[in-house]
Amino acid sequence: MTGQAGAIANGSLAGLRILVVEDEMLVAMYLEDLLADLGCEVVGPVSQVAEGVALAEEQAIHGAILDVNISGVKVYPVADVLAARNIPFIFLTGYGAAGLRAVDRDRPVLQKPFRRQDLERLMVVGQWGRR
Amino acid sequence: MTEAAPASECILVLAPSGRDAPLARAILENAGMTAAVCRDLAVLCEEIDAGAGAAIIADEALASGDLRPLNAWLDTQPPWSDFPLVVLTRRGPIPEIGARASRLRPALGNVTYLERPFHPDTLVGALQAALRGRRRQYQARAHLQERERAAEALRASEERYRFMAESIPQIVWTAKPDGSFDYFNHRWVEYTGLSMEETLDWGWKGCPHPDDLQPTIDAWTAALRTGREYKIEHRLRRRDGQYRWLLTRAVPLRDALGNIVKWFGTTTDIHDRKTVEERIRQSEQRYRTLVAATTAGVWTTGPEGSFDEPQQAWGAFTGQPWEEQRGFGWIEALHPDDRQQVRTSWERARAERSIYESEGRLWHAPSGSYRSVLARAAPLLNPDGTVREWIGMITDVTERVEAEARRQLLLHELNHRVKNTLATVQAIAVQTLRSAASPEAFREAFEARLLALSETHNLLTQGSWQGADLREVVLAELAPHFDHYEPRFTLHGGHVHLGPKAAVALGMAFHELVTNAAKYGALSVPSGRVAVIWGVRATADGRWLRLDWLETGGPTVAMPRRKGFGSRLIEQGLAHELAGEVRLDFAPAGVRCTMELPLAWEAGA
Repeated sequence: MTGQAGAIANGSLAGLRILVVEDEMLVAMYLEDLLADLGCEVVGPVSQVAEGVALAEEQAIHGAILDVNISGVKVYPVADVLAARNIPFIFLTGYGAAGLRAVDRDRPVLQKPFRRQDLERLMVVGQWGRR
Repeated sequence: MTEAAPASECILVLAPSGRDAPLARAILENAGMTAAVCRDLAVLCEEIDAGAGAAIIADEALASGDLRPLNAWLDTQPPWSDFPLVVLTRRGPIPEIGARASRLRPALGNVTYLERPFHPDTLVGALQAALRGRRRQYQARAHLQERERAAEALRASEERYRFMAESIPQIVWTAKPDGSFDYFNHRWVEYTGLSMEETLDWGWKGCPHPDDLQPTIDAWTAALRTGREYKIEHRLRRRDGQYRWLLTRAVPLRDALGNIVKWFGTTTDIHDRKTVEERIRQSEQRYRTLVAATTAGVWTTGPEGSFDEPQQAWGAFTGQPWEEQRGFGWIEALHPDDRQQVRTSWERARAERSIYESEGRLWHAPSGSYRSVLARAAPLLNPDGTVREWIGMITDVTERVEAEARRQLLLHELNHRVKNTLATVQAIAVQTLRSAASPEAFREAFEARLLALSETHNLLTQGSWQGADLREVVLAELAPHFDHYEPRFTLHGGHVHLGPKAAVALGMAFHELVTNAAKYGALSVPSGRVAVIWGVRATADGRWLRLDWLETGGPTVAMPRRKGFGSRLIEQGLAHELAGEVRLDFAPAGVRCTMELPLAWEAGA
């Protein structure tokens, strides 16, 4: 894939370590490719919440992309760990923002299927790697 | 004639010859009486007829004149009248006078003879006596007339009463103190078709319905004994044979000493009213039975919505006894979160006097849980438009509400599934594009992958998205490569149920494997074979599926220069998604793929 927005991709997201919690293998692979194109390093991807929590607690990461529904289990424990560590993250969901907990209402949400540019924009706007 | 005196005091004088008339008149007037001289008998008769107190007649006038009009008048006098006459006789032989007198007496009646010449006092005395007698006659007449008027008045009064009794539309009757009937008005005859004679006394006993006869007699005799009002509703036979309901009432008339002298009664046809009442009673009974028969609970409240009488259905549903539900206690049976909304609905319905409707959770005592209930009530209005009461119904709509919730959930799930599938398609498209050498290659590979995904979806749809059988999933992907002449596949393994996610993931993996085999592996030459062998084994951490994909008879396999999408999907993606291990081995004799997957989906994960 070519044509990434130069200004954004110009080193701003490169080198970031991003945790991916997503149980759909094809979507997880797609995210891996997208993040690799942005110069990011993927932590995971993992398909279970417990694994996500472990990585979120232990790994040095700059941000995370969390599928809300992991094989019928909510991804919230991972979100809570990240929030406690002040690590930014994006929710990925097929349900929309309405399905989220009240505490997560202000978190950025990407609706499946999503645009690559939107993912990139949310990471930049959220100043990933800069706080 | 003196104008001042009444005609009844006037004395008529008939003495046509000599000076008798003026003389007599002078004598009488001198004595304070009124006298009038008549020319002849005819005039005398007219004057008597007009009214006079007495008459003096000289006998020569009687001898010469026509006596018949006078006789006729005297003969036809009313019973009280005996007109007094004084006859002046002429002196003569006694026998002659006597003979004339005896001849005249029967014709003249009340007659006094006075011989001429008479002394003035004799004349005055005779006439005073006559006038007094005549006055007594007039008094008698007045007395008679008075009595006649009284009798007439009584007759008229009785007639009025009769007329009234006959003209009112009810049966009217009277009875003696002993209870025997002595009068019925004509309505009775009209109604019963029986004559007075047949029914007077106790003859009416043939009229009541057999079932009502004894109660009627009992009530009547009780009234006679106590002197209290007699009142009974009973069926009496009409002339056409129909028994109709009538209301009979009677009150006693008492004399000054308090003794009953008469009973006055009426009997009124209340059949139509009674029939309507009966119909209303039956209709109410029907309504009550209907209410009892329906599963829905019917309730009534006062104008403000308070329970004013025990609500059976409500009590049975909520378990609230009367003391708890009365007034506005019923609100306590509602789920606390729904009470305010119900109050608001009531306020609006009360203000608008319109249909009340609200839905909420109501405690259901038999199941020990809150049930979703629809309550509807309609106001029953007074003639002035104010609400008299509310009649309502509660219907358990829990099943409907739950079905609605299930539908919402399904819709939500469907949306989720569609979104996820689109994301998967997006991922397939982007990654297929990434490794495609040409647009044609992209189209071919993308279509094939979409169809593979679709095949698995078909299987899952057949199983209502509860999962699919492993063999079916494998067959669906291998099917495009079946050769009708040469069996190229060997499938070996038992029944394994795959959850939806696993089915989709494995479906995609088999698609990649079979596609690779068709391009470069065993299926690229006619002699090549593929075996798929699986089994399930139990371990300490649950049941595991082991599956082997073995290609034989194909060209010598070379390790691919770089890992394509298919390899990544099988080795990383599948292992990742199903939390297992997958080995893809590009052995020279043929591609082998070994999968070790936990059957976690069996537990419903």
